[in-house]
Amino acid sequence: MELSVSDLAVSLGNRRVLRGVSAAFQPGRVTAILGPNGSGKSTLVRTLAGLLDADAGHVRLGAHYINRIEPRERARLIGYLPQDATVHWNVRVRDLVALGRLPHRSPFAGESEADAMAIGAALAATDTFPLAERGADQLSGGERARVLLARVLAGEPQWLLADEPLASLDPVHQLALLDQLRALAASGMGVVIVLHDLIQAARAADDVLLLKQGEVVAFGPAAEALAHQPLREAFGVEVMVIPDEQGRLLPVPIGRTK
Amino acid sequence: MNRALLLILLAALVALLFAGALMAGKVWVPFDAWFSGDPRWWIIAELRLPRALLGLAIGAGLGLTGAVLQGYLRNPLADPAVVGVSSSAALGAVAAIVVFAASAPLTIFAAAMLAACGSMLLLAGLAWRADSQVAFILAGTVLASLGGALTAFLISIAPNPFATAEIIDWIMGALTDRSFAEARLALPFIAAGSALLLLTGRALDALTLGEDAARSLGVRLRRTQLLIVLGAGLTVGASVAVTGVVGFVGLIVPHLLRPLTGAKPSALLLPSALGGAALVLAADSLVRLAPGASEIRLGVAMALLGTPFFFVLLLKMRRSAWN
Repeated sequence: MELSVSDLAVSLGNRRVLRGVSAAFQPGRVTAILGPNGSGKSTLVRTLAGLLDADAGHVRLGAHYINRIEPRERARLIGYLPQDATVHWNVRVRDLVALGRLPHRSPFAGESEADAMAIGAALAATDTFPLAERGADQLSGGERARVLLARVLAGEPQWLLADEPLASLDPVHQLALLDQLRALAASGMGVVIVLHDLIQAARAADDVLLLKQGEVVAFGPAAEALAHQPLREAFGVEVMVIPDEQGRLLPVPIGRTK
Repeated sequence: MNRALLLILLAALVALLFAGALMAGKVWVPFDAWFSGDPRWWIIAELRLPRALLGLAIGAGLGLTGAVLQGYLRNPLADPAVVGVSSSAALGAVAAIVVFAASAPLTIFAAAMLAACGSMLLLAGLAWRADSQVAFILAGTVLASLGGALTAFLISIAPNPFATAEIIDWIMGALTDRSFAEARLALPFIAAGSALLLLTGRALDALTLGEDAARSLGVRLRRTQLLIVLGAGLTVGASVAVTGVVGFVGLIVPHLLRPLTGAKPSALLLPSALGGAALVLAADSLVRLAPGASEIRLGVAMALLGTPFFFVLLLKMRRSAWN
């Protein structure tokens, strides 16, 4: 099912954060959202997840308006990984990951076999099985990020919306997580991530949406959106485009636009 | 610890302390006197049974409310006092004593419940639009200080020393001389409120990940907030309405049990109810056993017992253990 926004306008308090945003995200692809600080990236992802109401325009999942879908049903379809990686209690990792199953469990029902399978699969996919019995406080930043991703994956959503999942990860874990997201997209999941790093975006994303001050600067295949002109317009930076060993074009920032 | 085992042990402890609360007092009534037509049975039936039942219900309600509020506010310092409902209920009762010169339990109970319900509706209204924990805790704190200030004002204009004495007696919290009349009034409200609070377990678990993540998991935060406001209002309101303010239970009990249950908020709810019941039954029995003609007030005893205990706990716990 396609996840799309049309002519979206969203305010936080009295401030208009997004205006006139239209885009259609495709399942089976990784779409990166990039833009300067304060350009409305997180707001867009939260609106896509159905957590914020739009002033104007719509978010649709397939034929359905996102805010008309019953919350539990929506939670089964869309997994959202917030930027804030705080875990408020020292909960066991397996219990944290099990939270991803909440939308699948009927009230008062215990954990079903399907739940246990999905939790196990999510732990395995994120390489967090060995952490299952640890408390959340005994995790490093990288481990915590993987555990929180496992929490979303345990819900077996059709869409994964992740807000800056690479923040606070070292290069190895950044690459590992991006590989993971690519694998998920290859399995048919729609993946939308907010990123900061142009090179990582060029490496991992099929499509890129560039935002500036709440408006879309460019939306399309990564190689087109991460070219000189759109990046100059969105970030005010000049880039040098270098092909990597697989022929992907990586934009390396070299200076500010004069 | 295994969850079923922990619940069984706690239930056994509550049963033991309940039996102890029936036996203990200025007059010791041994177990074999209960079934033998011994005239001391009257002490149990008329005095100690309602008192023990109330202690059980109030302790369970306060322990449960504390666990729910700590989970909801994701703050280990939260307790029933932060919603402001205990001071509002106390204000209602004090107003009945001062303004209407009431001394009938029913009048005082009705006034306290009315004030508790009024304050929780106000809290729901104040925090509704914001649907965030910060608004909730601020509104609760404001209500608590308003209740405290108005209570102090009413004490200052109390018509005579007897009224003042009655108020102070009341605020300190006690189960002394409570009868079946009070138990019949309070128990249904405490039971109803506790039932509402027990419905919040999953939402509390999801809130471990923050508000956005909880909503993305399908949790309706406003519904959760409403359940908590109503549940805490009914439970704490009814408790305060019959015993006055008994503090510490809601704060300490979840802390005591968290190392045994694990930190998952829903796993803490039933154990906290049982633990709260055990703590109040134990404290109330100790209060009766203390020498002297009059009893130490339960609220005071709880604070005296609770404070050093809590300090020891704080010293023993590593920082990671109580997050």
